[in-house]
Amino acid sequence: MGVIHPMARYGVRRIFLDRRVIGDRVAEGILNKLEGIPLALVNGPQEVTRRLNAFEDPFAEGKHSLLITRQKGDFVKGCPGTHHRICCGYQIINLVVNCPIDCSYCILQGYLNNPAITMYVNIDELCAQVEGRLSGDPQRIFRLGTGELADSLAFDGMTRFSTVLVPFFAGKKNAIFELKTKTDEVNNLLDLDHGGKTVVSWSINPEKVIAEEERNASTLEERLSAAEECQQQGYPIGFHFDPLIYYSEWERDYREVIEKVFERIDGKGIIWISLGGFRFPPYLKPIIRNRFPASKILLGELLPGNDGKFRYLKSIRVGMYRKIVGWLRDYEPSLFIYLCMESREVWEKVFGWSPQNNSALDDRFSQRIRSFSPMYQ
Amino acid sequence: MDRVFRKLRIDGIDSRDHFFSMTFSPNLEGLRRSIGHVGLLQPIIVREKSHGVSYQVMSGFKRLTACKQLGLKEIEAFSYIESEPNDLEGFHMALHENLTTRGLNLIEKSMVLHKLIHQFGLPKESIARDYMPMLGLQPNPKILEKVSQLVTLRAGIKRYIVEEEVSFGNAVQFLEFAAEDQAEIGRLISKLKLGENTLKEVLGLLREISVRDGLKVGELFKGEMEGIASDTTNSKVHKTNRVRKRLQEMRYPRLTELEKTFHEKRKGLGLGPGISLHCPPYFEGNKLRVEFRFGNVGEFKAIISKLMAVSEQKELGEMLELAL
Repeated sequence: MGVIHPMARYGVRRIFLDRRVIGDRVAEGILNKLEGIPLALVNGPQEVTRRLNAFEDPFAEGKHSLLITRQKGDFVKGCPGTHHRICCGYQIINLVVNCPIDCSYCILQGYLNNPAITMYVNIDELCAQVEGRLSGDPQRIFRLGTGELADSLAFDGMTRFSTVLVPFFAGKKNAIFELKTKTDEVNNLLDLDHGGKTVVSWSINPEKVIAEEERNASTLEERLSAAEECQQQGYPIGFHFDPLIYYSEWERDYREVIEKVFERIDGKGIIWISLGGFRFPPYLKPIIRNRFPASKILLGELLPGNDGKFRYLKSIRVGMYRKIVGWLRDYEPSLFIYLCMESREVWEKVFGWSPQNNSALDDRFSQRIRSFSPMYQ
Repeated sequence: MDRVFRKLRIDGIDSRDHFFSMTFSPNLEGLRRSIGHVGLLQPIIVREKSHGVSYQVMSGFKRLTACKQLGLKEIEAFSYIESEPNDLEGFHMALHENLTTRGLNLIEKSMVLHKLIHQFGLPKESIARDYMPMLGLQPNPKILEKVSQLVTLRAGIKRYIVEEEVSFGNAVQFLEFAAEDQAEIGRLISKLKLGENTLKEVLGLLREISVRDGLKVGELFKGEMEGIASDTTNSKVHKTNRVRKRLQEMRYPRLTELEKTFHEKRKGLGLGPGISLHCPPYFEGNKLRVEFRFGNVGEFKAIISKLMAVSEQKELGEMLELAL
């Protein structure tokens, strides 16, 4: 469990408070946890962007800067996925945007306009928006998560957003909520009534990759200890082997990761596992080189695909996926394993079958959720 | 600050004193010819040193060198006394004179910025703000850092940058190599014909391979690569293409192996002239592509029957498995 306070771990240096949320109850709750950190009142995100852009590395500085504001538009968006690939129809909740963990491969480095870690306090409106979405299609099981443009739990000790969202989703019949993290910040989760409708999932990699490429993230051991605690509290658990990094000792190291997972976690309680090879859009390469000059992550055989993103050569990816699927199934044959942003031909080569399209994969998820949890039957 | 017009003995000027110099790799041929024909039109600017025993050049290093090379004994100069102008004022004067009479190349800009930082100890913010726009550079601290480091490159690389008018983006790539590697790279690229894009690609490949494999650039060049570059029977363009291809093969060994196998199997199909079979780019896709050309119905029929025959060959199945 987390012993280092997030402010110390992530080195928050400044808070920008949007004038529109002065006096807001949720904002006050967050500010109470941030005593002693310099605060500036701002007139919205653009002002913060302007201020942070004055720094030599605005993105790095943004990771030490919090913006507390209101979400004016939609909180929930479909995962953009990528062209010519099978995507799973995941729904992204943007309650926090940006992340204090500083992974070399992070897509957010070139993706976000505002470098600050932005926290939206109008969580009531989020819940209302989700209600609207769920009731609009009651037959579908929605999968939603806060872990695409942020780490779901990195700041949960401060925001306590999980204490609102987990009970909220516990009462929903056609939604499953995912908290995706690289941390061990699970304290708030342990006493919540989750109703089996929140998946707590970890993005995992070998310790070597964590140490070299995932700055400020919890160690594998810490993540697995947290996962064990959550499983003991009855949460469905997920794992994301994403991004998979290819290097000479990858087989030994990923086998070891899998071994450690099953030493601590009951495979029957794992709702899903995703695999995704390292991939990146071309604009990210100079950013990674500039921000992480010692990283060797770009030295693999990474080549452009028909969606414009660079990936390992297909034969390398397929080889990795096949082996990892085999190692995982040796422990638990019934695991639900899927590929993230991969083509039909790669699915075919790895599993011997492929979803026909995105909606077919979405259907398989629904089947999985129903068979995993009696709450959805 | 008063200056005096003088005719000075050339051997009384300390030509090794480069305190104010911002000249790199000058081509003096034209200047020598001009001075030889019509004499020195523009006096150099000097400042007294060692209590008037000697002089240091503030501006006019090229003119002084050209006159020396022409065997002249005296040179016309505007001379300042030792304490006036002070060092920074003198440097400003030299800079303005150079900027108004000629442009500075990238290495010379680097010399100016490097001197402002290290010789004059000016704060980087003020250099970025006050000097970089004057040099036609963006007033950005990161760019200042990079440009000012170019002066530390090996002389051969600096000459290459100037002579080939290498862009800033490519010039800074050389900084990522150790001095020893720069020398090796200098030796290689001087034998090739590299445009901006190819230079960028070649430097990128060299860096990635050497970092990945923990090898010095010289070790990469040994053997085949050295042979390609030194081959005097081929044109520079041809050698460049071969070096580039070899580097790509070293950088992407699995892809190279796949391409080779695919090519061999394609050869095994015996498609003959007029038909070609292609895999998707980088083997990332789900279809092979056939192209054929024909000029009459007879040719068309022959191609179709060849393709039908190919569909029965085991190589085709192997190629599909390989490529998709």
